[in-house]
Amino acid sequence: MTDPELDDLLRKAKTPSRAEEYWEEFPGVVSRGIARGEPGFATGPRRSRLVFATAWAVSFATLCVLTGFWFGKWHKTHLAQGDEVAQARKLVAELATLFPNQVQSIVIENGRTELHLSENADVPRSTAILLRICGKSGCEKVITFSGQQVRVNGQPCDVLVDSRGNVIVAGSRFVWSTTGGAGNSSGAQIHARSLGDVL
Amino acid sequence: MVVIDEEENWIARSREGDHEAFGALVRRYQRMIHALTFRMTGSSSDAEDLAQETFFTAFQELGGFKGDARFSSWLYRIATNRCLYWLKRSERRVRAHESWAKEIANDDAPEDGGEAISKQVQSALMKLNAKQRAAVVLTTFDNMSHAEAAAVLGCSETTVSWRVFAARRKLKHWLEPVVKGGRDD
Repeated sequence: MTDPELDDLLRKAKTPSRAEEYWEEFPGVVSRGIARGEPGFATGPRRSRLVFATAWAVSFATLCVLTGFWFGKWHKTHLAQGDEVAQARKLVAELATLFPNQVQSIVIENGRTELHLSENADVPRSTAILLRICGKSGCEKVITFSGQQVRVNGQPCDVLVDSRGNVIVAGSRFVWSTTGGAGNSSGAQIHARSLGDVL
Repeated sequence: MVVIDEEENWIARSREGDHEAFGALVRRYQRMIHALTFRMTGSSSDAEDLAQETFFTAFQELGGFKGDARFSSWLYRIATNRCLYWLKRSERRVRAHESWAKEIANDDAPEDGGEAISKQVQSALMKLNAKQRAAVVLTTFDNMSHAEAAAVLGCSETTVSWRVFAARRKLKHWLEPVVKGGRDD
């Protein structure tokens, strides 16, 4: 079949004829539909817009709820951290009063508190540090002082605080720092925070 | 030109909510829109509903008609989109039309030659996918250029050309027996 033959055939096809009255009435049908805002008319785009608006509103509400949850959790954690620091300071201050210049470290593990004291009152006054160490045997919280030693995965490490308050944990095989500049091959996760001059 | 001025006047008045002026626009384009919606749906009653929806939508969105295209092209665009949307949401109805088309092809009842050809052409159109059908209806039945059809369909001219080419190849194949029958007569 050639293109002109196809065109000719297609153009021969007529659409169903309608009575002349239909064409006379049709504009009136449309006008009445517009005047009534007939629900059967034009539901497509309006429905699409409605669906879009609903979807947007639901998404926005979900985002708000999630943001609220996230903020709540962050706030709670932040407060908990603040509490943790305040409690650690209080504990250090009280123990230092009881055992002046003897407190080397306080280890809190599984709700059990272990106090490490020097036999003599020879522990120098220095910046207190709160450490959280998660190793092979679980997590523990350690409160100590700059210049003292703690154990990370059984390995003795020196804990130091520099003039900017950055904490450094140095073992014989690794060095960890709050600045993140040093490599950590200890196999433990360490979080540290300077408690400042508590004593 | 008088016709255009008259149409511009109707459009301007319709924008202000004049139903009578909009009625004049409907009267001018109703047959064109009915033909388009019928060729897209293959159903007289659906064509009527879609024509009504087209004019209703046009009235609502007349404020967005900037006049940079012809009013008829803008109206075509609304009608074509309504038809494509309708076909998309009613696949079951499309399948019904397909089975209708098969029935028509097997119908042995005697009828007028022109009517038989019309039904066979419509059946073939109904077998095309909706976008190819729209491209053929606009370019072949409504004599639009590929660029004009592209503007109505919201796609590139190349896409229209490809759809028309693919659709015409199928139509030639499906309608070959009709032409052969005519030659034999």
